[in-house]
Amino acid sequence: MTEQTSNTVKTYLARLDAALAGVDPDVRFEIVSGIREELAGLDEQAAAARIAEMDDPALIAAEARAEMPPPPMPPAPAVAEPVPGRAFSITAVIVLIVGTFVVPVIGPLVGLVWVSMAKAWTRREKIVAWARPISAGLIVLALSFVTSLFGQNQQSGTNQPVLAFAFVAQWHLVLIVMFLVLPIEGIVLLVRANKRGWRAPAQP
Amino acid sequence: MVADVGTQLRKGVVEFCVLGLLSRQAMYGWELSERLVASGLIASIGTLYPMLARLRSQGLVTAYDEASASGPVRKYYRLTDQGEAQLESFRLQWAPFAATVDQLVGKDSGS
Repeated sequence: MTEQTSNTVKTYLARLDAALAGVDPDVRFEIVSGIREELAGLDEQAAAARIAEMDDPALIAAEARAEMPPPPMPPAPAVAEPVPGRAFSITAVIVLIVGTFVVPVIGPLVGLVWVSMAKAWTRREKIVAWARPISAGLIVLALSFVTSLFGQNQQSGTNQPVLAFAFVAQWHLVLIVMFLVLPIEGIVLLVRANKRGWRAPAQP
Repeated sequence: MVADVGTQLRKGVVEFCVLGLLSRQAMYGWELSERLVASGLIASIGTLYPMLARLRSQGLVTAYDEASASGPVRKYYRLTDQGEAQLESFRLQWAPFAATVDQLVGKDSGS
């Protein structure tokens, strides 16, 4: 094979290889090798004539690409499933927080009932949501009872400053339960539910 | 749909035609390509090699290198036992299938 023919073959194979860019590497190698085999051993004129008969590298590459399996489809964007009862859960917790200040007693009570019905919290969280203000209320009642006993014992001694202090402490406790425990509990429930997308975690 | 009939038909049978050719004798890539192009089953050698890669990955065809007396070392393709079985299965189905299609789409000889 002369140098000129060599160059002709090399040029054709280089064009073919370049045109096959992006085709599966094994297939690309096989095509170029197959055609190189066909051109090897031919003299200058025969190689040039053979190349003239061959298809254009761009056509061969297009055919090869058409035969390749299509690239895998990108995964369809996940359609966010609507969270069941999300709006209701948000409403419930807001009623619990704001209701305390707007409609004392009834507001947080409705909020707690709705929280119990909502799907954003576990059963355990709902039980704790009820238990916390009830236990705080019981403590207030117990302290009220103690202070009233203390007041009866002190009536004979007319210890007015102590009585006044007990009275103020009792009402402070009531206020704390009403305007602190319930809203804080509501905020905790809101933050927790919001962190997990307003879905209750699966219970074991 | 009508314009695609030839392409679809060729696509459906060309792999079995390759199996059929290789069942007679082992052939190298260019030889196979020329035969299939001459028969109008593929457009160029670019179609052949992806098809051979598929047939090899399915275990229907295998390749080996062999030096020819007059030319260079060539990669030859031949049928495997699995390829023979696949071809035989196709042969059994093709004749009744072709007869049925012919019967359904063929013109009435009396008209």
